[in-house]
Amino acid sequence: MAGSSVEELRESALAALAAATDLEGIQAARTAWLGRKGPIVDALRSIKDVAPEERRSLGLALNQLRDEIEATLGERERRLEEEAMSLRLAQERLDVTLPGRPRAVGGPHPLRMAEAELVHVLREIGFSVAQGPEVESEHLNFEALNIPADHPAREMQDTFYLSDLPGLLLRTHTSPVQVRAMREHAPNPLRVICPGRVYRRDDDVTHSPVFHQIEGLAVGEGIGMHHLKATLYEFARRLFGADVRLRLRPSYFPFTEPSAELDVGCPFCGGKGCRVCKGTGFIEVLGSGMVHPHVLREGGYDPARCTGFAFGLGIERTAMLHYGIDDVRLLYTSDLRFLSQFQGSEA
Amino acid sequence: MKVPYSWLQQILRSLPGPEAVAQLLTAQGLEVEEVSRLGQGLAGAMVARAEEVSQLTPRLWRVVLSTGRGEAICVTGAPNVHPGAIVPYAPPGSVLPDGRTLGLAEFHGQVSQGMLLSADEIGIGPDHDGILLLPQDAPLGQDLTEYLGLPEVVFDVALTPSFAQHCQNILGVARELAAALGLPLPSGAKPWQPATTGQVPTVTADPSLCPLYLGARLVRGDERPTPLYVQRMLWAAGMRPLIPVVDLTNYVMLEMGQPLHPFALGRLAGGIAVRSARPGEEIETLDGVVRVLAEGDIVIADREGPVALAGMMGSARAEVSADTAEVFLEAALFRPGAIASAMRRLGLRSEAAQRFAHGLPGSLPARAMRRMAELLPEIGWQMAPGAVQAGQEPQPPGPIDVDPLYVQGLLGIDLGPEEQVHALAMLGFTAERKGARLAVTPPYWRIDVAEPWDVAEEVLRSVGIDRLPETLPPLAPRVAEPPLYAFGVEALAAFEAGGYRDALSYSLCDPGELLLLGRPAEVEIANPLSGDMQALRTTLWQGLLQAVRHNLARGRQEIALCEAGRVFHRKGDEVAEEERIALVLSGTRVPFGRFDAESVDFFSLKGDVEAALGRLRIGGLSFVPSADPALHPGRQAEVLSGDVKLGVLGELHPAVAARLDIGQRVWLAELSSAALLEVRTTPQATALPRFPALIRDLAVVVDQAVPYGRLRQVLRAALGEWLIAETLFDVFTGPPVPDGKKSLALRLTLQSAERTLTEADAEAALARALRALGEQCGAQRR
Repeated sequence: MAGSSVEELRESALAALAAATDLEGIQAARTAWLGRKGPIVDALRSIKDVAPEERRSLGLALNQLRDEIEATLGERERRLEEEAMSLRLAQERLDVTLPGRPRAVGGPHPLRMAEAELVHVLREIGFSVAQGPEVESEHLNFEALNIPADHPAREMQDTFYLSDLPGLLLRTHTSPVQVRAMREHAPNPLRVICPGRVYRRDDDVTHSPVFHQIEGLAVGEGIGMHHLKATLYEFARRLFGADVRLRLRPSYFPFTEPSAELDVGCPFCGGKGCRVCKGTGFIEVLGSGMVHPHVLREGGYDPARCTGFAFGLGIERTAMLHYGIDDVRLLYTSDLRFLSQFQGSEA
Repeated sequence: MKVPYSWLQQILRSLPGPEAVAQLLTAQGLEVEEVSRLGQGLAGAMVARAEEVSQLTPRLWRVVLSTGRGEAICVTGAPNVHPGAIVPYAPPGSVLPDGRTLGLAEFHGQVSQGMLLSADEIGIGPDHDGILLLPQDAPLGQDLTEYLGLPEVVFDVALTPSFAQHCQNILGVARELAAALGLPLPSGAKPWQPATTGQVPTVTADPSLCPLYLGARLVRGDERPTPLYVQRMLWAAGMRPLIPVVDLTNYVMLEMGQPLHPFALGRLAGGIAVRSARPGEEIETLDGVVRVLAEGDIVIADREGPVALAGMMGSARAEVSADTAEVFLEAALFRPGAIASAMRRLGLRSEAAQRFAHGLPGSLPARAMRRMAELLPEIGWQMAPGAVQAGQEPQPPGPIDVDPLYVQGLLGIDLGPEEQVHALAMLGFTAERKGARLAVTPPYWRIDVAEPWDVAEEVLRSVGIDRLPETLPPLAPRVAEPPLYAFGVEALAAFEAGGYRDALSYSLCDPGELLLLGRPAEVEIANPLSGDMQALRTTLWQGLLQAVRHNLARGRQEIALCEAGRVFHRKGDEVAEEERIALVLSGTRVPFGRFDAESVDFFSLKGDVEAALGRLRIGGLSFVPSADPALHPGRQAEVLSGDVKLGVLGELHPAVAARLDIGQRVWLAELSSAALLEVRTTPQATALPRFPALIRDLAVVVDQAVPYGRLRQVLRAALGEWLIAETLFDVFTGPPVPDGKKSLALRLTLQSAERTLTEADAEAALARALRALGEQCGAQRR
């Protein structure tokens, strides 16, 4: 075969290729021209019949032709695939603003969220959780905490008593857990927090007959009120932010002396005075003090050697402040319209 | 307690502004909860004199006024204006505290130029029955706010029980303020030393109830009205001026903290006895309530019976009235516990009772008597020379022995003994150094300070709580926590992840509902707030069902709630508390929308429980038909892990649902947290399979009554370790399956840990399975 016939072969190949306009045509053309029975393979096979001095150039020319056909087909194929992909992508376009497939969304209760946050911060500061019963003995709820029968403080905490179970009541505060924890750990140093349910005979917008408190207690040798202050301030800064305004104010609790309350700068008015803080610029968050020697003795510690501090706060109040809830009863109605405001809003 | 700023100013003379005073009091422990300004906003009113008064109609009077600068005519509806009276007059253009601007008004043809003002209209007191009559020496034409010193700033102070003893009076508050300002402390009136003869009733007193009783005779002369400053202070403190001599006793009580009781002397029959009430004895108190007394309540009685509930309230029989000419005045000490318990039981929280209940200093009655003697001439009365005394003035105990190092250590403030002595002196305590220790004597007004820690508290208040350094406590190892606490949090989160919202219910509930749920109350409240909070819950379902009702009533159909909390059981004379976690599911999973709402059923709840327990690493679950009375008898199961009972789940019994007025199907579960924690496992890794699995489908027909769980059990036993998983994918009844039978289709995954299973292995295994199912369950291949 001479050079001229390679050129003829090329022209007829290109003419045939031009007719291949879809992927199937391209595949057919590839088989027809480059296949084992195609003209190029034929020509290469018959190269041995050509004069030896022409074999090299003929082989070269045929290989070039094969490459050219392959390149032309490949190029056309790629273009067709791209077109097909573009078409598919265009057809598959979605309205991404349509709603997502709804899932049943669960979530925690705002009170539990507040409790978890308080417990988390206090654990970081070095306290461990302790627990006690909600049905408590009158002794641990009152006498052991330095609240004898005719003490005016008993009036502050109107109490539920139980039928046919003399000496038992529903605890009015989490403080009895202090005494229980002390009895368990005395004479070792101790740092515990006691979150839990408490009960008082009270029912209005700000008081619920069932509510939650968290109590903190630290006992050991050489514990002073400066330790209480640093602990409370550290706690408040982690909870409310490092630049929160804090104020410790003398107060009274029967089970601590001296006693103090911790106020934080009113988050609603920034301290200028508003309805929430009743114009004082501060909001009361917790009560605290140095554990009364009577209570230490009840807990099995020698007040001559050991001292301690304690503090307590209402979890409902913290949650209400934190999440802007204005009626405590909302926390206990399990209204899904309310609960779904706190995590995982719904479609 | 209401504390008028001007009263503090009158006692201490020079004071910083009200805001600064509020802050100082709060820092001292007397928390100022609110600052109000009485008469704020009043403008343009002045002092005037009524020159002529003539009646226009039965209820209207025309008053000609002189203002010092001219005349004006006013119409008033108040009957107490007489010619010569000095009155507050608001001419046209003046503004009242409520925001009204006055103009001209016409009544029955008479134009009124502005109006005369009552205490209520001025904003300083509740009295709106008459015009506020001013003292005769009030300068005509003077601006009223200037004359009355308005606005009257009043602090509302929250008194903790520790302050209620010595600060439930203006002098006490003034002392605290003086200490904060470094001013000398006002001591109050000196004790009264009466001649103990005179025409006074004899008194006998039970010393266990009334350690000291002083009585004096007050005689009326040319009576004058209660001084304006006394009226203003009573108003500001929230009391109402009544009759001059009564007003003075109230004023002295507010000032010093000693309640005084005036009896109309002419109405007392014979001598007086202070004694315990007899059980069932009755008294009609001044508020018109007939009160039934109990032993231990203290009464003041004459020959005819009780004339007063001691320390709390008088009776109408010996009440002082406007024409009383002689008064028997009582100043006494009553046992605080007796007053406190009577106050609680009778619900009678009078000003007097609230002071007696906290205890009073021994010398206070005599000091208050002396103060009354000083003030009486201002209203044209005086104290007659005679007096009577029963009992003795209690003497304070000796000095308190205090180690200054103890105080320093407890507070964590570096304070030497000298500084402590000084700090105590600021609050009126005397402290003497006795070697390394201090002998501390409280001032007469502090009977609550008795122990070294009390003294430490006073030192802290005196130096100021801001002196406390901030030092974190030394490191102590954290103690181990009860595992159930953290587990409870984790368990709730596992259910929340499955689409349940965390609910909270009261643990107090209606015992009737517990009974309806087959879980009768075991512990009841002796003094419940209401019938629906009468029992401690024995199940969390009661609260969750209430939540279902609440949400259904608000149109919410998709309900999935979980709750963790305690239930209460009676164990003899004790109460056992158990932590539980409960679920309620009803309606559809997701609300109406573009995607199909999945309606829920028994198997939704069961699947949720299985998934959540899986998240909690609790396996080996089985569900055994059970007989809980609250649940549908054919749609409930006990949940077990191995042989540990975890709880129960099922559909709420339709009859119970109807009784609870719940109109849609509800599914419930309740599990014991302690049981869950007990069976929770530590996950163990196993080798990944090295040989391929074979998948075979198997369909069998069995009697309807044979539970799937039984088939599965047999299948597992027959196939042993090779059975990696079985998936039930079809349950079918009806033709061509014969009546009373059902067809079950299962996909089995077979795999060996030792070798690749062959087709022959699979055939043999299936044959083994079918044989076992046939023999033990009566199943036939379909």
